[in-house]
Amino acid sequence: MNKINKNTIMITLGFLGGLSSWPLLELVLSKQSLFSNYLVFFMTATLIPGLFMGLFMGCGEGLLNKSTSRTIKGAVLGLVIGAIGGILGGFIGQLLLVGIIQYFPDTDMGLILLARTIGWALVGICVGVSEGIRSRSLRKMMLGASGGFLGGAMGGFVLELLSRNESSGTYLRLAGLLLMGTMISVFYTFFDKKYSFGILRVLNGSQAGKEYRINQKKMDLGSGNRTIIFSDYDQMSDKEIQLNVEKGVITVIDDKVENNLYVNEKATVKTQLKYGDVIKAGSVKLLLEAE
Amino acid sequence: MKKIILMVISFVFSFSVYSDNISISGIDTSSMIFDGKVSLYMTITDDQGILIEGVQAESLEVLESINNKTFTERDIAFFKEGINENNGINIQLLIDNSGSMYETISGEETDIYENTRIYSAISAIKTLINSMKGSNDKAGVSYFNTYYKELVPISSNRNLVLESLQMIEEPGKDESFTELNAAVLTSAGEISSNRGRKIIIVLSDGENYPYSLVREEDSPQFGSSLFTSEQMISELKQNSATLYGINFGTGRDQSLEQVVIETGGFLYEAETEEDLALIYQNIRERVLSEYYIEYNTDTVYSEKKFVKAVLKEKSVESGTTYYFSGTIFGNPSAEFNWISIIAIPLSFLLLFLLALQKLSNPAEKPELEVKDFSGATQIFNIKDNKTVIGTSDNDDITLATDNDLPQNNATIVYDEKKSVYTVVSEKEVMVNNNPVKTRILEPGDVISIDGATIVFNDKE
Repeated sequence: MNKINKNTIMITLGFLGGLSSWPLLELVLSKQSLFSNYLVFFMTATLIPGLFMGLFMGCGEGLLNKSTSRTIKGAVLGLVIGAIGGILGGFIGQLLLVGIIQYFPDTDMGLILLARTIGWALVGICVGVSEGIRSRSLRKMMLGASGGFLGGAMGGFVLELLSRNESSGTYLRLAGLLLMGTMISVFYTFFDKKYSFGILRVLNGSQAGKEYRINQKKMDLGSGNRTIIFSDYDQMSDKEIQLNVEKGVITVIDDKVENNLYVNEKATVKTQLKYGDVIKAGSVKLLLEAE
Repeated sequence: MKKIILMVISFVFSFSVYSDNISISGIDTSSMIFDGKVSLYMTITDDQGILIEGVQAESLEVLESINNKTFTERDIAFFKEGINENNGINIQLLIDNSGSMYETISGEETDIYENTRIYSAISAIKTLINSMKGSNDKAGVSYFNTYYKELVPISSNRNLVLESLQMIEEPGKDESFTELNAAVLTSAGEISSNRGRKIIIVLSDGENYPYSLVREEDSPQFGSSLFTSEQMISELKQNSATLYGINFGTGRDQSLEQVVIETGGFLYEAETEEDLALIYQNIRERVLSEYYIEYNTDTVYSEKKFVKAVLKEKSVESGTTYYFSGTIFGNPSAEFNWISIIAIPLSFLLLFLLALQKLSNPAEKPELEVKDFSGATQIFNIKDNKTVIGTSDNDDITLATDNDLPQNNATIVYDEKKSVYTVVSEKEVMVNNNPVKTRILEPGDVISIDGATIVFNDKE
């Protein structure tokens, strides 16, 4: 069985977020008249895509690390932040829409589409930013927000265009949601890759061939649950080594008493890395490559 | 005082046209998303066209429909008479400045400016503007002939309006047409961005007399476009603006009557400068004294919702107006398809399958993963005791290489007794970035040769 990479996983998760949100959104829309007022209706309806897309995309890092606990934690956090984003984004989009209609009543459909697109872009931001919050990385949050904004705007724009069709709105809305979820993850992945500092490729052991993108200024590697996980390797402490990135320069540090770090087979406690360097920490060997 | 003025007007002028006794002149949905309330501005008059004061909420009914056929009564949440006295009005004054406005009121030519219709119109407008002192009303001025020209946009600086009136000059021969419809349409568009109550008062001494129709060539400003009453009504309604009309002089435009009625306004007849001043004042008084209703709407989906008001005791209905009530999601399905719920467990099933996917490729047998200088990657299983890596076609693994670089060969040798693989080379190659000529390999070792990166994999 061929291995799949991070990009494929993230894009699939975005797609699944769109797919899973569709039936509940349709249910809420079909019951619109039962809501006591528009505010509650909007909050309920816009919450759903944000919630499901946040949930599925939040699973990404956990799946990549084959960590069930991290998958569940990421899913729950993604769900909460995505839901908040769904409410905020949809609500602000609707407010913009009302404002445009009220104060520019002769406006054409283009401006109305713009208002709704901005709303979906805000939903995308909140979905994209959740993994950055989970990993407490401002940089990851910014990348996620950028990707989420563009993906949400693009997918949301198409969703709105497709929703205009009255005869088969439900299936067109499905297509729009799938596209929005996919676009959020595509742009998230695009920014994640474009602004990555490099790739750590595992050279040996059970994870041989697996690649980890260096997309945070501080990353820990070890057997612990908050690190890039190498729990199935010998001689790995909870936090075996740390990677620091400053002004684009990657430094590997091992500040434990029992030092077990080698760069190009030379023992070290702290070394500035260059692409092509071979790092050995505990029993795991890694190759630093450019993106 | 208000009653006295209205009574005087009713005796002095003959109102040629009356709208319904109750008319919706404005609609506001800005708070609907928060509290589900829609606001209406309404004018209520008796059968002589005189404003009725003191109407109570109990006498009124608001009806709403999503299809303009079946109407449902809505609860009135708030009611107030004379709401615009506090908030002020946006008044756009639209003046006919065609050639005939420089004749006397009875239609005779004159060289004395003070005897012209335009002089009377300007004087009446000055009186109106001066009467606005101390109020929150805003005003703007435009004129039309062959062209439409905005002199001052709507603002609270009323001195600008007075000053701009001096800029109205007699048109030349080619400028003397009466683009009445085009002017109303353009004016409605220009005031659209103003917030609050909006009215346009158009004064004309004749009928729509477009350049392109008469000259049979494109108008310098409006091209070949000829604007209909329906277009004017649509534009005014979309912009929540009410049109009031004043016929001054001998000419009459037949379509103007329909437009003012449909938009909740009035059409007046004036014969003197004094008549004009009183009519302008009357229009302002009418709008200031409008009734304001807030009612609770429901959340049933519709791109537009149609509204009308009823004066119950007289069984009189207003014309129907509408507001935009679409949502960010567009049109919902008529019925929910429960089978679609399967998409949720399906998504989680696919998530589970995704979690089972391999993210790594641990080697089961000894192999070499070769990434050449172009970035292309290939995997070669090591089957023989000697595997030659080089640039020749006869080598076991042929590297695509840059011909400018010095070329080298290496051999991976398997020692059956020790069960180890060794890299051997005549010239130095790099293993884990260290130069070697011979070196026993361990899983994960990286060999660099001729610009290619080769990873030695083996089961550990």
